[in-house]
Amino acid sequence: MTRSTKTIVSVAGIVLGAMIASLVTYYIGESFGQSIVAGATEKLKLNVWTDAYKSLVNVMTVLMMLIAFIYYVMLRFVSKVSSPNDGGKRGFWGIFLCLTIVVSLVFPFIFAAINDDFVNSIKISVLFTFVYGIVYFWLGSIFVTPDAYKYSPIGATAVRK
Amino acid sequence: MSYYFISIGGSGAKVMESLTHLTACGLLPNNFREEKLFVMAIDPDIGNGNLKRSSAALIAYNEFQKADIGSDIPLFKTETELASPFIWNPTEHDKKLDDIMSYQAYKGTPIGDLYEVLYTKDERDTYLNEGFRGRPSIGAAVMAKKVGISEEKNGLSMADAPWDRFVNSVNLDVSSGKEAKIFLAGSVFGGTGASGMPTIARLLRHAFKSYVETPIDNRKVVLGGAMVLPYFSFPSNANADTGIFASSENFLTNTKAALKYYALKDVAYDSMYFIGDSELSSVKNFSVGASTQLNDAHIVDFYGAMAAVDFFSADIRELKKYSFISRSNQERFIWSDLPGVKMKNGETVNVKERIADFTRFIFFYLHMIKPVLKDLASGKLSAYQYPWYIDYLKGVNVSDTIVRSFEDYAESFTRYLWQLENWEDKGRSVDFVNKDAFSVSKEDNNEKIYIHADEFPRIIREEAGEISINEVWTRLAEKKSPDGKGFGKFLRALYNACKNDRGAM
Repeated sequence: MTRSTKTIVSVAGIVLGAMIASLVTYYIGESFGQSIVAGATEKLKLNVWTDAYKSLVNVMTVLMMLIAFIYYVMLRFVSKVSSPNDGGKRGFWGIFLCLTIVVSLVFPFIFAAINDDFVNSIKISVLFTFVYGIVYFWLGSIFVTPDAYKYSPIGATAVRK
Repeated sequence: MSYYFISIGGSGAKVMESLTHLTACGLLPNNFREEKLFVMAIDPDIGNGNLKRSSAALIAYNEFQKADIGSDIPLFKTETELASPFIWNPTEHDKKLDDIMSYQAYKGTPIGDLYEVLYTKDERDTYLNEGFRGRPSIGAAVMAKKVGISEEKNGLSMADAPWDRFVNSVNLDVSSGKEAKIFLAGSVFGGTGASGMPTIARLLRHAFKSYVETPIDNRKVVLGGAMVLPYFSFPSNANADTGIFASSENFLTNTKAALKYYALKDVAYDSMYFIGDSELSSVKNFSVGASTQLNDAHIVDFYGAMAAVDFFSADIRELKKYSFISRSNQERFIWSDLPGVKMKNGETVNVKERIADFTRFIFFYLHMIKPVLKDLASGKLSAYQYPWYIDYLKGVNVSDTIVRSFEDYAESFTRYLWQLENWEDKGRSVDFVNKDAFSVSKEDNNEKIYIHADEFPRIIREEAGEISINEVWTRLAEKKSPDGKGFGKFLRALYNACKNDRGAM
């Protein structure tokens, strides 16, 4: 596979991964709706909450895709190796992983604060953290991190070797 | 085995150094590991600095060529075999001419009287540990006596061990239907080379009489030589208390006599290359010999090695007695001055391309690999940062002789290139490689090599396309060896990553 083909495949992977992550979080999160709505004010209806949750998932997906794109573009096109110590970007990868986890945990609460139709639960934040942070970013980065830094994500050595 | 190279004296050793590097680049014509290059050095001054330096590069090459590099790659495709002992010293240690010629046995006889007429007392009384001191007449007598050809053993044999092996090897080639091309390199103006070049060739011709007298169409053994003409001089006052010595004032006179000899006599060579310079470069540190006789690489040495490559690649039936070469620019030696090399498979290889790929390969190794390799192996550095280490070298012993020899060789190649590129004389310079891309500086009596990463893409002059360190790094990480790990596999992958092949992107 040429480098250009790999780039196209990686970009497609980032988009496709985000879409799958959004579907998974939507369907799993939706099942939490009943219990979340039951614990909230009487005014909140399940269908309203579900619509708001759908919007949250869409926004989260775009945010996560953006983070993944920035990570990929930085390593693929911006970062250059010119001395022995330039190789390996685990710190950089770690920052992005932390960013996805923080956004996954915090953003649903921010979304709830600015949206009256949505009530958040820690279950939603944990779900987002697991799907977007661990599965989408961590596992995804193992496969799409450019070859020059391919072993930077923890666990990549076992998969890409 | 097909290629035989004999370096004679200090100038021959310098040609040998250049030939070692051209061989490493893959410029000898053989297919991968099909033929060997047998190398032998002749020098009474075995401590000669030039010889030590060039031997070190060759000995390192001879060691790391054992790395399993795979096949069908120009890199290290020619296996070398060194004579044993590698340096043949015709004078032995602490011997004077009188000792070697057994003067005491002939003293008072007509032969002894003739000998006294031919050689002055100073010449006879000087220890020959540091060579023949610019006296070809001494060297010719010593070599003719010491090589000692005999035709007793299997028709052809020579007395001393390296010669015996040499002759057997040529015999083996011929009997197995292979061609044996023997190339000698040495100066015509000093002592050892001037005496050895005609004498050794004549002795070899005699030794292989039955082969070399065959009509050229069926010939299996041919002799070629690079006769190095004067290209340097040194101050005449730099010789106090050194006894008899080579004097650059005599170089032109010696050369005139030598050229007359080669022109008029029935010389033993099938093909000759005369390489010199119309301007003599100044050697600052005069030395009669030993380790202090250490002169920087010169373009003449490079052309001497190119002559050997030309001879080895030529079809025996098309060998020219004399070859000519010209250059396009009076001030600069440039890539386009160099002829292509015809490989055994019929392909004509561009010298620039081979040296360019090889230079990138060596520079990348020195800049990106060597500084971290030991720390990676000892666990001081995290392996994840270095994909090439995990892919090719993790678990491989990187402290073994092969790795160390390669690193020694890589440094000697870089120093050689630095010397060649920094040769500037009377407004002339060598312009093959960008001098800003690397430097060699002396620090605490050690030579430190620096590769300047910013200039790496422009290492080679007149080269289309740029290959950055990042590009090589990425290529190296992209392709994994199908054959597994090992230092040889790693070198192969690195060399391929350094090739100027934009199609690989």
